Amino acid sequence: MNLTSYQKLAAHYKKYIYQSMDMIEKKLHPAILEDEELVRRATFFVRNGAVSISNYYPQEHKIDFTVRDVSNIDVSYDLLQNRFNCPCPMQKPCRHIVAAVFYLYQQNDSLSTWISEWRANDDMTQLTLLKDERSPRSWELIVENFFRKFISQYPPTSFYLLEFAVHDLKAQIKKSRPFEREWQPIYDVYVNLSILVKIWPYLEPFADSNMRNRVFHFLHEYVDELDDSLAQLASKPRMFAADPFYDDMMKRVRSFYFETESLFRFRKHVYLAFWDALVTDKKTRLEEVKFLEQLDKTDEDIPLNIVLPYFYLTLSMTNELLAAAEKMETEQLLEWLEVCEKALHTTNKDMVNNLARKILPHVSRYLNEVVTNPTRVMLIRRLELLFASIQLESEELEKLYQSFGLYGIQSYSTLLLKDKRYRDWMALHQSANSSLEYAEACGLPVVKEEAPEVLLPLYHHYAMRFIQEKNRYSYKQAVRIWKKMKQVAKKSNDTDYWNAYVENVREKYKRLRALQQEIEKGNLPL
Amino acid sequence: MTQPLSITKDFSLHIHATENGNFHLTTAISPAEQWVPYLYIDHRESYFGLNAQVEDNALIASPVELVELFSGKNTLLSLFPV
Repeated sequence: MNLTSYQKLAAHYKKYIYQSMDMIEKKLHPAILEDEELVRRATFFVRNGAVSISNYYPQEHKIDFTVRDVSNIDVSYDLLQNRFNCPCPMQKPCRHIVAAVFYLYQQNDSLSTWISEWRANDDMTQLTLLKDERSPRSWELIVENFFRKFISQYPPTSFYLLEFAVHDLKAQIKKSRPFEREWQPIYDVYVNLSILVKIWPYLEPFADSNMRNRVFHFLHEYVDELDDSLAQLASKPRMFAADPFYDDMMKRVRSFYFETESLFRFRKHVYLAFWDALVTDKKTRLEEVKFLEQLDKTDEDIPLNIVLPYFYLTLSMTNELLAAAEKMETEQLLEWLEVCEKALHTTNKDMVNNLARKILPHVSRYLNEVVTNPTRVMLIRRLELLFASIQLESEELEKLYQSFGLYGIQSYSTLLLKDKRYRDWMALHQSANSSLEYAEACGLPVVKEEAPEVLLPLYHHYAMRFIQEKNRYSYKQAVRIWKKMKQVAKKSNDTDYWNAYVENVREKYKRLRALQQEIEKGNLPL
Repeated sequence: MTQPLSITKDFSLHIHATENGNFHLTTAISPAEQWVPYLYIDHRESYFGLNAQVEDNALIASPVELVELFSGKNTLLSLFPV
């Protein structure tokens, strides 16, 4: 190839080269020192003949470059897609890529002119001035600047490093916080959201590693903080001048929710929190509802429009809400539980009542087939609280508690006692094999007062359990239980029956000498 | 752990009459030590199963006992012939 052929090549792809130049212009900012240096170096490469074209694939519209940096770097440039491939570890676009594009650009145009225009593009030449100009773009630049310094230039190799980096990043960004009080909450929310969106791609890989719990913890704290700032912001009157910030944030939140991947629950939380705090007009919400109703994108097998019920709820679209609840799938019980809990805080009782009843049929299958063990206890507690706050029939409650499995014993016991079903209470504890202490916590004293005779089989059951352990300590425990049983027998006027019972026990276990001694000591007969 | 709570227990029993007029009850589901107490939960006459006769993982019950156990006085017990 001779020189003119390079020019021809550049002229041929002029449109695409301009596109790439636009991209560079958008991504690099003259006020950020690193960007400025990057452009300077790229220009230096071009002017010193360090860039050369090594290959051209006319069929695929691809050009390969060699850039002579410390070592030779091979960059390939896919013109039509505006895509690059450079093996260096720097954040993209790196100086090699920029140099390659500059090289093509300067075949037909003046690079110097472009650079001086780029520099003049923003009249703010120093970062310190940025914070005085109040626009989403300048705040974004502040975040971007520090984000590069702390994170993207040296991608953290461990999650701890990432955490430290985020911490430092926040501290630095805080220095540019506006002095006017009314602007501070917006700034906090804005930069926190911006950081979250930026670190997301770095968090993702750690969430699948053994650092999973740490990542969750970090995100929980982060989101909590974000919620606080949002609450602060929502409690203040809204300024007209801040509208561009609100719009910008909502745009980001939407793309964060709809377009990023993984850790769905956190993304959903952020999305809903922003809708709650920042959007006040009904029209925007209705538009979002329309959008969501047509959306059928899923992430982690959860449809993204799972957030619809929240919108129905805030817009008081009762019919739509209940219709959606009717169609709920068991796997999404948790989401609906959250909707109910939110409804509990905001709307009337009837609404929650209707909604919670829609959940009820799914509880059993969800708890016993879908959810995994560690989260179950908390979930059961939440379900219990929810259903306690609405009016359910005894039979419905009974079914619910039964589906809780062993975790439901306490609530179930309370229900049985309330319905004066003492015998069932006893049978429940025998069948669930609960300990005497647990039974006592579940209302044994009440049964003792109301229907002492019912307790005899239960005490017998406990005593037998101890005897089967076949050691003196257990025999002592058995006798301790028999003493309680004796009190109950006395109370229910079963003296003769009790004495016969003790006789039979002694007869049956006459070969267990230690047990006989303990019984003797216990002075069991009445 | 993942089983739902229940007051009632469902299991199938095989009941055969023995030569001396007693009945021989077995089930494949759990060892006799486990299910027999549930059966006798209301049976005061045998002291809640204390005197129940368990041999070779099977319950040997007299006709009187069977009548008492399954007479319907015990509300938790109901029989469904298979």
